[in-house]
Amino acid sequence: MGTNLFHVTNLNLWYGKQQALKDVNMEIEKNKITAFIGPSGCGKSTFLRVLNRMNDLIDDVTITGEVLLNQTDIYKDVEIMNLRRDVGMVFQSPNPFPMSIYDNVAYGPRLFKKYRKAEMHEIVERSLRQASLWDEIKDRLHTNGLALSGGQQQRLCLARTLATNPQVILMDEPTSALDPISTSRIEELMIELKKEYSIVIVTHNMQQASRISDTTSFFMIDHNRCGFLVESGETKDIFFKPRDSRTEDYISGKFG
Amino acid sequence: MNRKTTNTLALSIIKILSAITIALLVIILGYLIYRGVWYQNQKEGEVLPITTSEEDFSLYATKDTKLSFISWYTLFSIAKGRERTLRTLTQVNEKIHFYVDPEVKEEAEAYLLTPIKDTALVNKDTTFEPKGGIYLLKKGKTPPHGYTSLPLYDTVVAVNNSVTTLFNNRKIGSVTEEQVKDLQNGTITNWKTLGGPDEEVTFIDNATNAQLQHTKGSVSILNANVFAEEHGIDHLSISRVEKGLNITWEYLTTNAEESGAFGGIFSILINTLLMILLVLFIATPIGVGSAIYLSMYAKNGPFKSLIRSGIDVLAGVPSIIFGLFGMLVFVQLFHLSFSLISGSLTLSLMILPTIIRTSEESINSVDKNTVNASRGLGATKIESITSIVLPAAKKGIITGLILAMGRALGETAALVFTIGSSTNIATGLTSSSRVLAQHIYLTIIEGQSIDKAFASALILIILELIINSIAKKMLRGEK
Repeated sequence: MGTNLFHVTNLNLWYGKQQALKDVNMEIEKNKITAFIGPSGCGKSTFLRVLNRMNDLIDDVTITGEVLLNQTDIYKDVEIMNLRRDVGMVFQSPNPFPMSIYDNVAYGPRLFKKYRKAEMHEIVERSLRQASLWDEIKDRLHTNGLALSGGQQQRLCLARTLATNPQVILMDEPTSALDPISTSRIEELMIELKKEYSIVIVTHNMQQASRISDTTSFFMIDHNRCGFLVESGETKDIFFKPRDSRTEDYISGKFG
Repeated sequence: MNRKTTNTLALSIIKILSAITIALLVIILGYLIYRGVWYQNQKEGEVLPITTSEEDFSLYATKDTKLSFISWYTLFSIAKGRERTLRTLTQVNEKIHFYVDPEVKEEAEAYLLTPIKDTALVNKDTTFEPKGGIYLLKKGKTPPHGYTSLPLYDTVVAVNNSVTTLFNNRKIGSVTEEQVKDLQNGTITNWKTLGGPDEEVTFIDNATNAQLQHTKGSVSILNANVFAEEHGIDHLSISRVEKGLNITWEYLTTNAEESGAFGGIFSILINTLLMILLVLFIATPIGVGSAIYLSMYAKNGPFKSLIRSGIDVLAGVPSIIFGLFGMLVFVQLFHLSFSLISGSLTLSLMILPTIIRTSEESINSVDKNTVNASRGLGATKIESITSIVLPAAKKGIITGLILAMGRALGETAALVFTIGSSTNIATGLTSSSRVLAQHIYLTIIEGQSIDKAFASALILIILELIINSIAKKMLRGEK
C-alpha cells in the first residue's frame, strides 16, 4: 500500500495557444480510487487524458512536464500502444463497437497477440464476469453490442477495457449518461475492481466522489480559462476538512 | 380570398402538378418499354401474300434464315446472284446458299426467268450447308434435314400507269391487302378513295399486258413472272404491318453487326461488364482512399478546403469535358489508343467525386467515440480505420459505389472520344470496344436502327433499375 503509480511533475498543457492546465503536480496511488472533481472546463478530463496520452489524438496539443508511470516517463520511454493497453479508459457515453459482444471484448487482446480460441474465450468470460455482465449476456455473446441497454453497454465497455488486463482504468464521467440503478451497479463494480486495478475517475457528482473514492483531487479554472490543481488528498479530508477555502466553497455548493 | 380557400387552391394545384408529373413518367417509361419490347413496322412489299401459280416444285429453307415467306422478286434476285446475304431480308447475318433440285431445273428457269447456275444444282442427297440454305425441290420429295417448307408469294397488283401518276401532288404509294380485296370485289370504285387520281376502277381478271396498257384505271392481279413491267403498266406495292419481339433471347446472346443495325448485344453487354469492373477496380481504391484521407487525416485548413472545392468542381464538370480530357491524355499522351482502358480511366475520373463525397460522408458519420475507444485500447490509427471505421461505413461506401456505377453505366459523352466503337468483345485492355449507352447512340447514328436502339435502351433501363434498387435496399438496411 501507498506505492505511487503515477507521478506527475510540473505538467502544463496547451490547446494551440490556450493554456488548459498549469503546473499540475500529483501522485496517484496503486489499488485506490482517485476522483477528480471541479467545475466544468477546469481541465480534469484533459488531465485524465494526459495519463494515457489520449490528448495526442487532438491536433495542436503541447504538453510539458513529466508523467511517470512506475518510474517510467510515458511521454518518452513507453510505446504509446502498450501504454494505452496498460492504462485503459472508459468514456463518458457508452460506446461499444458496432460488432458482437464477444468481438467487442476480444478487440483489445487481439491487437497485441494471436490467441487460441479457448484462451480468447477465457479472457472474454473473465472480463465479462469482472464487469458483472456475464450472467446477463452469456447466452447471446454473438448479438450486436449496440443491442444492449445503456447500463449494460457501459459495463461492456468496462469489460472491453479489462480484457487487455490494464494496471489502471481511467473513467471519464462513466455514469453521467446512466440511470441511478445502472450508476450504483457501476459504483459497486469499481469498489470491487480496485482490489486488482487502480482506478482514476472524473466525476461531476460530489456524492459519487465521496462515496467511492479514496483520494480526491480538486481542480479549478482561473480567469484565463486555464485549469489548475487546487488540492489533493484523502477523500474524507477534502470533503470534511479542506485546507483551501475554494475547495470548501465548491463542495458546499457556493459555486460551480 | 380567405385562408381556407388559399389552402384548398394550393393543395389542388400541387395535386394537379404531381399528377401530371407521374403521368408523364408513366407515359415515358411505358413508351420506352413498349418500343423496346415490340417492333411494329410498316413494310412495303412487291407481292400479295398469296400463291396463285401451281408449280411442280416447293420451296424449303433452314430455320435460321428466319424467313416466313419469300416473294418472287426476292427469289429472282437470289437466283440472279444479286442477293447474297440474309441481312436485308431478316437481319440475319448469314450468307444465302441457294440450291435447286436438278429435276426441276427447267421449271425453275421458266418460273424465275433466269438461267440457274450449275453450282446451284444440287441433289437432295448431298450434304447441305446447315445455315442460310434455300432449296427449290420437286414437289412431293422430302426435304433434307433441317429444311422446312416456305411459302412462295408471287402475286402482284398490276395497274395501268394512269393510276400511279402524280395527281394533285399525291400519288398512291402502296395499298393494303384489304384495299386490294375491295378493289377486286368492287367496293372501291374510284382511285380517289385510295388517294389516287379521279379515275374509275376497272378490275380485269387475268388481264394481258395489252389490256392493262390500254384501259385507263384498270387493275389486275397477276403472277409476278407473267407480269412484265412495260411502258404503260405499273404495279402497286403492298403495305403490311410487321410485328414482332424486339428483345429476344437471341438479341441478348448474339453479337452486334454493322454498328448495331443487325444482330444482338451480347458483346456489348460483356464489354459493359468489363468496363464497369475496370472502373470500380480503378476508382474504388482511389476514391475511398481519398475519402479516408480527407476525413481521418487531413487537417482542417486551406489545403483541405481547396481539395474539397476541387472535388465539387470536378463533380460539376460536364462528362463531355472528361471525354476530351481522356482523349488528349489517355488516348494520345499515354498512347492507350481508343480502348477499353482509356474509356475506363476516363469514367473512373468522372465518378471519383461521387465516390469520394459519399464515402467521406459515411466515414464522417461513424461515431468518433468508438474510434477513440479503439485508440484507447491501444489500436493504431490504421487498425482503428480498418476494423472500426470502414466496417461501420461500409454500407454507405458501397451505396456510393453502386450509385457511381449507375452513373458510369449510363455514360455516353465521356466515352465517344475514348473507348472506341468495336462491336467485338474486348480481347485486351487496349482493344477498342463499345458499351451499352454508347451503343444506343451509335446504333442511331451509324446503324440507323431505331428498333434496335430502343431494345438496347430498355436493357439499359432495366440494368439501371436493378442497380438503383440494390442501392436503395442497402440504404434502407442502414437505418
